[in-house]
Amino acid sequence: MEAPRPALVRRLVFVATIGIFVAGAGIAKIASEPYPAIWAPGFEAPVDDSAYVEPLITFEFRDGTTHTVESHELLDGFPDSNHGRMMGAFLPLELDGPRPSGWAHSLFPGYQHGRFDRAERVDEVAAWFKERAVDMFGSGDLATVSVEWIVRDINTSDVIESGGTYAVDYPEG
Amino acid sequence: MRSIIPRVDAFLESGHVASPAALDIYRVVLCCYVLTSLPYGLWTADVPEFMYAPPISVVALSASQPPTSLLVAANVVAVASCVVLLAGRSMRAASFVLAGALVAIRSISFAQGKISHDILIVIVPVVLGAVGWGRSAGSGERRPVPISMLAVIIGLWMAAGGLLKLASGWLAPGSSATEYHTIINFFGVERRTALAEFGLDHFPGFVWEAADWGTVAFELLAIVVVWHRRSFLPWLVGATFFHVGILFLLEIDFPTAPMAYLAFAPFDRLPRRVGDALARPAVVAVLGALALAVGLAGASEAVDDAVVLLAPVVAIGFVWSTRRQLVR
Repeated sequence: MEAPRPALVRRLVFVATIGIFVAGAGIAKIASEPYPAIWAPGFEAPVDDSAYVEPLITFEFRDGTTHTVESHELLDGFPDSNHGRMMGAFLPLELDGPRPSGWAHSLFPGYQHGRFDRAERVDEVAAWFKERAVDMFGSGDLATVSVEWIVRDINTSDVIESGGTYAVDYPEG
Repeated sequence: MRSIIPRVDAFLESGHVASPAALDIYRVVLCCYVLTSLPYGLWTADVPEFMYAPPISVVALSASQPPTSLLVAANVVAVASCVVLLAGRSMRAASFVLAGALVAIRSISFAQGKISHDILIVIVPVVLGAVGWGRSAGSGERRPVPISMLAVIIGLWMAAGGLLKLASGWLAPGSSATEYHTIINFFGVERRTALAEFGLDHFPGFVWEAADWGTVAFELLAIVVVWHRRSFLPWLVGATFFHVGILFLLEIDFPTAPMAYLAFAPFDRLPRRVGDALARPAVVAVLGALALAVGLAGASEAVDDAVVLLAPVVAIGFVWSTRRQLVR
């Protein structure tokens, strides 16, 4: 005897839900976590739990003054849960590279767009830093803005080494 | 396989059910909560284009940031669909439209790559809309409404977190992922909670290790308990405490999870006058307007924290009120 229609629909929805869950896991495995997905935060364990990395942002002005701020000050006004990802725009340019041509990046032109070819967008970054300098310090007459990634000991917060620097220079004139 | 299908059918039909009267009250509670969270994501209007790096999503089909007007429109649609749902009109369509608007809002808000794992607030209107949210008592429709699919999704959602932790090495001896993330949160994100400060100064290693094991076990337990009401409801109570612990340790709130858990609350056990009041259009309209005012005033974070903190009290109260059914 065939199952009544509501029971069939429930079965289909049940199977589809499991399928959506598995598909999301599969996409996360071969690319990265998609949205939407039936996914609670993983807070994955670090590969190296002996250290953490902290950005230090320095604004150097032409008059010789220097201001050093932390990421939450630079990104004031944005939710702090987003700061980590947003600071990814300022990773050292030695880590920059061309956008991959895999299936995910081909099907989704915007996927991780700002993470690659960052050297081509330095002018945009410079203009934004200038706006932030005016907002934070009242002046946009910048000489250099640098974001240094400091590697610190997880237990003592002592500086272990510099993890590289992203710097923007402002030519005179 | 043949013996599993009838058991799955039975679970989906009657494993977890809610009364139409309870869902009527829950619908008002949920819509008011959603309204307090709107408008959502408008801060993205000030994010520079060079930070655009969305995850795989509908938004990622575009090589540039979506215009702010789209985000504003999605927020307006979300408000409108909440209003329609509060009025009890076209509940199925309004539920699906609300879910779509919430996905659109969040997709745009996650365009810098950070995903907030609050998908349950989208899932709830989809699942309950599909089963009709129950009918108002006035229509005479009094059959219990099956909500087992929502339980399955909550179980999968939570277990996914546990699986990710397990796979990434949370249970590796000699180090604690809970301690690591507490340190990162404390020094990196500057969320300096009293519990984190105390823990980092005083907790011995075995306490952090116990937190690792306890977290993974609790999250994986979700997909085990979901199949039985007697085990799932107490687990939900535990989950509300779990979220409070995360709030106190990491200052991270997941208010959408307790809000989803409330779908299983026996709201029909509240005093009759509460249900009668919430059936009055004027009362619902005032509540909705107040909720929207809270959202427009930018007080949604306070509401989120209150939801997380009050959830254990509410959950214990409801489970206590149904203890005889759970024990039977």
